[in-house]
Amino acid sequence: MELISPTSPEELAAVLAQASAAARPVVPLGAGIHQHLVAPPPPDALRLGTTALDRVLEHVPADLTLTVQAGARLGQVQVVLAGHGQWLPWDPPGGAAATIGGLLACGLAGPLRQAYGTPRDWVLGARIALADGTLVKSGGKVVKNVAGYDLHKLHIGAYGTLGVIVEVTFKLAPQPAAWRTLLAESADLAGALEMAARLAAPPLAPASVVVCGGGTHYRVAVRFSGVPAAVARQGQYAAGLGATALADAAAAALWQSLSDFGTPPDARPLVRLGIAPQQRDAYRTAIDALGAHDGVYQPTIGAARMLCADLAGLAAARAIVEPLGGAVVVEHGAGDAPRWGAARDSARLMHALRQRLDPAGVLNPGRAFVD
Amino acid sequence: MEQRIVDAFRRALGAPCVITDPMQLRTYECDGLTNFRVVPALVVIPESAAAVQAAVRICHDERLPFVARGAGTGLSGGALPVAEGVVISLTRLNRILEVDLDNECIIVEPGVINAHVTRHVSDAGYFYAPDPSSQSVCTIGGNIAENAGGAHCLKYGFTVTHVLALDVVLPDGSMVRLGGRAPDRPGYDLAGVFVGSEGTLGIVTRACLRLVKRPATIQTLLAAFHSTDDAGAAVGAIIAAGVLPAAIEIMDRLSIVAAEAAVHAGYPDCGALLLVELDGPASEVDALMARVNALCSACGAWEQRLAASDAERAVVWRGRKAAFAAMGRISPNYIVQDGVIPRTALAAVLREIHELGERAGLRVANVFHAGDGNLHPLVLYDRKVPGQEHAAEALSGEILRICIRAGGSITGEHGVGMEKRAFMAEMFAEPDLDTMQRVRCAFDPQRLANPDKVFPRPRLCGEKTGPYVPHPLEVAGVAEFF
Repeated sequence: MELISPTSPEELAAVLAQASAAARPVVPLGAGIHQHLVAPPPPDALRLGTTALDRVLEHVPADLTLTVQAGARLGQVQVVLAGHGQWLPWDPPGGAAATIGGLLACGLAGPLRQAYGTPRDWVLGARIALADGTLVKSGGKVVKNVAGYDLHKLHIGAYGTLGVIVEVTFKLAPQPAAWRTLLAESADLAGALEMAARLAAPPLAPASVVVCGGGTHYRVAVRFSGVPAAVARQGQYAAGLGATALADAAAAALWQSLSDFGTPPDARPLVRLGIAPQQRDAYRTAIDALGAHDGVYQPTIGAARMLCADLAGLAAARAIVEPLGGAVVVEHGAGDAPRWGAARDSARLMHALRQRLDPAGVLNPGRAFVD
Repeated sequence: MEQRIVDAFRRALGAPCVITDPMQLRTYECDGLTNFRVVPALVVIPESAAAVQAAVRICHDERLPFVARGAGTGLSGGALPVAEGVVISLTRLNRILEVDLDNECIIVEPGVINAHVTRHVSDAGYFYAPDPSSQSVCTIGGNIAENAGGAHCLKYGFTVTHVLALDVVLPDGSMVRLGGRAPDRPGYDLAGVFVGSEGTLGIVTRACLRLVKRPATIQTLLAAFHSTDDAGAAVGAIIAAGVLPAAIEIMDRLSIVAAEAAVHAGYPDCGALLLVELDGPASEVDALMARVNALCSACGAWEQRLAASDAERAVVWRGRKAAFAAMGRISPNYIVQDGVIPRTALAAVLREIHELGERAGLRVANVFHAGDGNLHPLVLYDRKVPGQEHAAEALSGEILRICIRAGGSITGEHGVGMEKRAFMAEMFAEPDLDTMQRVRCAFDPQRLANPDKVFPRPRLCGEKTGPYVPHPLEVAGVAEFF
């Protein structure tokens, strides 16, 4: 497949305009490490890479704002920010190597979402190349702004089907002064989920709580961030609940592996579950139905990512989760199984939007939930 | 309006829910921005989500424009009626449907008053974070339309952060659920674009909102400075130190005088007042407040008072939240402006506004959410003095241009509505606005929902972008641009 890596937003937009005119499918591409999250591209597609658009355009430390090009890698951006004691509080799969545009387009978030929300909550504005080659902006560079529609939100989790993100402005967070990670163990999933709930309940306010493992060995990892005194106190409280403190180096390696779970994928199907966190029973029974042998679970969020032996339990899991407003998505290894699950009742609106923003249907056609 | 259409509304909603009396219709002629007034052809006050849907269906079938309205406290004319259209008032959809404290959420109808949400859950130790100054009267539906903020959104985020799911009647009368509590669900973030769309994409009939656990400790600091420059420098220092307060507000000399006259908050007599609220676990708040105190002193604060009790804090906030209305104490008329600038531009922009005011011979009071750069300049004038109103409007518009030039926004929380449509073209380029129209057309191809708001020159759906070509309907005299 042909790969073009434009060096300016205008050049990228011109490529899109030509593709639209020729009705040629386009695959927008960041680092390329999350392409397995959507269906394989059409054979004649043009790959449109953003990695040559990798500049940090503006960092105003005193305003806690940052504007970067979409092809900048998260790790590269964090290095720039760390010099000022700031960061983007994200730990998506793919980590440092993922491009900003790619991780937004895929709507990725990691265990830090417990305390810091998802990247969506940090985006102030964006510049987008539409399928017809128009370059447009929405939002702005200030933290508060209600002028016009927040169009940039539409592109987060859209897998590039509404346009190609070329620049993004974020608000930033100050880096926490202190961190502490603790671990607990459990022989079964039920016990581990129970422990995770206790570690997330007041007075504790963790940055992340994750259950991982499978079979008869599960671990519960919790971390706290903030001012040193408060972190120390929460760590003590968590220790009182039966968790054991982990040294910093080991903790960093652990969280990296939890973020990166299933990335890159192996031969086994990788399945993602999302359900309202209050649906604890459905969460459990859907996981059981899938027969996961390894997984990373965030019960307090209602999220899970699992490696399964096969997809025999997919329909059963969906039958539990979908009536409650949740979804089970096969991130990788779907084979002939339906990847996205049942359409939402807003599907008609989503189609209408896609039709309006990409009338030629050239952006990742047939790859995401919308076609 | 044709009698048969009025009858259709009466049949669908019940006669008491349909207002046709001209005197009663006048009640709805404006919202909080009273210099725009239009009497609607009809007002309906549905009592259920199904009735809202029925009303919108009739509007759709009859091609009638409609404007949703909550408490009518909006400050940008977003709820201004359309003369030949229908106002759909949501005030009777005012039920709190479900409270789920275990999962920190509450399901409400759009007519529920903002402060009533917090009141409903405060005994259990929770609150609803978005707190616009009008929170004692404004409704959740209006808050969603405007993506309302408030003093505490610096830490807690705007309405969009707190809306988990919405049931929406689309402009074709169909009902759809946007968003949801499940994470990572495949689909476009339609709820994200709906919040803040100012009633142009549909009408909310039910909202699931996030509740926040009340922090263990709240402390509010009042720091007196000689000038807004000094107070602004303190804000920069606090943010740079990595402290994220729940709120940081600045009031200038004129605002302090007005607020004192109105509510006797007991503010120090100073050139600028900085109000910093910290919340969280007690040990954290104590440590951070000590730091804030030191930073304020270093920036020239000559008096610092800590309001620690709920009662003391209530008095401090009463003065701040009454600041707009208090202007009536020091000026016969005033314009409330709402613009945003990068925090770092604060001192320069305030100076520029001050100079503009001097040149125009008008006083400008400043109250602002300093932490997020959201300014609320209040342009004071006297309508009885010939030319002053015009000068005040011109000055108010210039302030927005200063905000745009500084890299900011023409509105931080009041919305574009009717008032700032023209400025949209100064903040956004034509393709940006066209793209918003494309999104609007996906929701509302007939352009019936609050049709004349937000955009400087609404395009008809299907119209080609590019150089201006009159639309066939325009040529035929059926539609017009303005």
